[in-house]
Amino acid sequence: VITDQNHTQRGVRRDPSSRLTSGQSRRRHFRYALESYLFLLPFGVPFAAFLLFPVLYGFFVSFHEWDFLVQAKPFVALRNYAELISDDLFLKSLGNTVYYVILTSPALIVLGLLFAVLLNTDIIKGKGLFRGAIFAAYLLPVSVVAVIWSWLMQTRTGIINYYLVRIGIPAIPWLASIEWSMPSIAITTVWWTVGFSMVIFLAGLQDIPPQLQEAAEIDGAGTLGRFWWITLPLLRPSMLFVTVITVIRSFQVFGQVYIMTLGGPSDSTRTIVQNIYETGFKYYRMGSASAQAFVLLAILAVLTYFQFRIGGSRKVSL
Amino acid sequence: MSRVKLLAAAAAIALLFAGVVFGGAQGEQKSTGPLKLTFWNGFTAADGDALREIVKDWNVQNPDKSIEMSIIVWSTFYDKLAASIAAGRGPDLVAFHYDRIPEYASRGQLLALDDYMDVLGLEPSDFVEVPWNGGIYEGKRYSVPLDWMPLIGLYYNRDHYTDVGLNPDKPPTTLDSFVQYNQKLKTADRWGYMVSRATPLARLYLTMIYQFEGDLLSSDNKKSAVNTEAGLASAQILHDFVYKYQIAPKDTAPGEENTAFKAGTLTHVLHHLAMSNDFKGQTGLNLSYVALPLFGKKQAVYTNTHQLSIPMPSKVDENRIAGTLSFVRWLLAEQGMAWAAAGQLPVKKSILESAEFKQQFDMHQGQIAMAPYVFFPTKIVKWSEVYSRIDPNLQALVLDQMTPEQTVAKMAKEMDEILAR
Repeated sequence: VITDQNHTQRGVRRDPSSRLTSGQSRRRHFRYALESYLFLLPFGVPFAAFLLFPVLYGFFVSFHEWDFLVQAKPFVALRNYAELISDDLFLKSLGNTVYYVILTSPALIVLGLLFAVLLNTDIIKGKGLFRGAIFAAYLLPVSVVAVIWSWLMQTRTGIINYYLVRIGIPAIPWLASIEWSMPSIAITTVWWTVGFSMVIFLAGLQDIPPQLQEAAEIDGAGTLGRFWWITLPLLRPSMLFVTVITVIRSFQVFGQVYIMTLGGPSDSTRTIVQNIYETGFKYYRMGSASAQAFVLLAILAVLTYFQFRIGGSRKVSL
Repeated sequence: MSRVKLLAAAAAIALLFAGVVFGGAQGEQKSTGPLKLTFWNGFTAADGDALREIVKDWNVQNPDKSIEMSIIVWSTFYDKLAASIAAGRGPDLVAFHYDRIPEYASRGQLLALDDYMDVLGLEPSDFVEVPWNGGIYEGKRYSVPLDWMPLIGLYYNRDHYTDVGLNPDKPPTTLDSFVQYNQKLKTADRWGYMVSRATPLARLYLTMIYQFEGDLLSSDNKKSAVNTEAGLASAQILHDFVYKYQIAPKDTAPGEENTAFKAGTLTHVLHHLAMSNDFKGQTGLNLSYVALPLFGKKQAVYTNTHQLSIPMPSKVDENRIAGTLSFVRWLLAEQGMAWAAAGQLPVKKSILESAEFKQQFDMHQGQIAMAPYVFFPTKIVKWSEVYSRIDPNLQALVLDQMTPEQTVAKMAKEMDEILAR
């Protein structure tokens, strides 16, 4: 396979110049490459300026004691990283974030898939309405979602507990207790963003050729059998995309937490991004904040790598 | 479109982006001609509306040095201010909180005003001393006060008092009466009091520490002073509210006390006067705002002031500074009453003591009552970070995750780590 690929690539490159002399060929090739790069510039320049450069600069910053309002920015080598090992607040924030990822990611994937499958069949009437309704929440800004849910979830004045109590269930201290606060934020987030995974799964489902389902049906596969053997394997690309995006986004949670609990009670919902933000922008320790961000980046890179290893490489044999 | 044109267009767009990104900075401001001065603050509520009117008046009278005001919500105000100063594009004037002066001044980011006091032309003896001196940090003046505000007082629902036979003109003034009132007011679906989970919690705690003649920090500002008799007694009271006297629930959600107060299911809220704008919007809510009861040994209340300051410009332009200071003088010397309408105590003595002020603003009576014993926090660079460790520990205390002793010990340890860093 490897030799084949090389051969084809070389073939393509040589193709436009096959009837020209080598000098002409080189010039033509250079122009061809230049054109390609010029076309890439409109994306490339903002990408370099707003993403690549800040990331590299942040890496540089993470080896310094970096107060952005002070001229002197001494180099401290790995000290910012070393200090994180014994930084209780950082470790707690990291632990809370992992807990949050565990609460939200599987729910977002399973519920998103469930909604997509249900709304892709003909069992449910008014599919368009449901699809629209579930996705509509995703379009709301985080501030709106967080404020509304923090009202809904108030212990005594919230409407959720009002109805729970009416049907005989004791009031739940949603945002008021250490045990419930993170699950409450997870519930809010799932409600808010499940529409996104649903839409991706819906697109994936509609890409599955109906002949395959029919053939399986003729071969005697039941509904569950078809879901397991046809739908799920063919959804692999959507599944990979949703998993990777969901896990990354969950690790980056900030807005909901900041508005709903400010990290409380007692730091039980303090997340890694809140810790980075406060360390850097409130307490002027950009070096430590950058180091924390790179720890997060490393975690995400490793997780994403394994997600691609597990979810991406296997071919589906038809 | 030909390929060449397309390419040219692509290159032009790319260059445009590059220009936006890499150019753009370092515009030199000229001081000739009419000045356009920028003024940043975080007055997003009724106070902002009042200030907008004041600025409008100024701009009509002074077209040659007009003020362009940006109101940025306080929670992001300081990030934006720091970033803009770092980029050399800070505003000409800011209004911010007294306790943030050290973090900017220590980094050389505020213009020292000592040399400009003649230009400013205000008479110090016209102003209340404590907020006026609030602008001084390590011997230099960096700001002048716009107002001052005790950060916690007592709101109560007068109708609830009448319901249970309490005199609505006699709110509680001591710990004992506060507890008794709340025991009397508590019913199946109504609480007398809820210990706040959010902003007022640390303010209440600090106030109680001051009332017990303690402080947050040791006298040399190098260590915390919460693991002391005063810190412990204050924590004990918070814990007692919930577990000993049982006058408050333990599981109050963030901001729930405000919703409950407005809904008429809560009688007392401990908060600052600015909250009254929100409460007054609730129809049928018959409320009063008075001084906080005495929970400790002697009266004290944690107080802050909005200060007007000039961020260090990248290039000092005397004309701009003079223009800015003429606005500041006008604002403080002539607009005190207009600003008081926004809910803060005026700093100018003649206004504070005037009959007009006392008559006009009945909600201010609580603030005026507390004025003699205001307590301003110690000025230290790491104030925000030290202060941020109060809430998480008190939240655990109110949830009974820690005893009062454990709470003050842990709080002290965390604060000491920050101070030692």
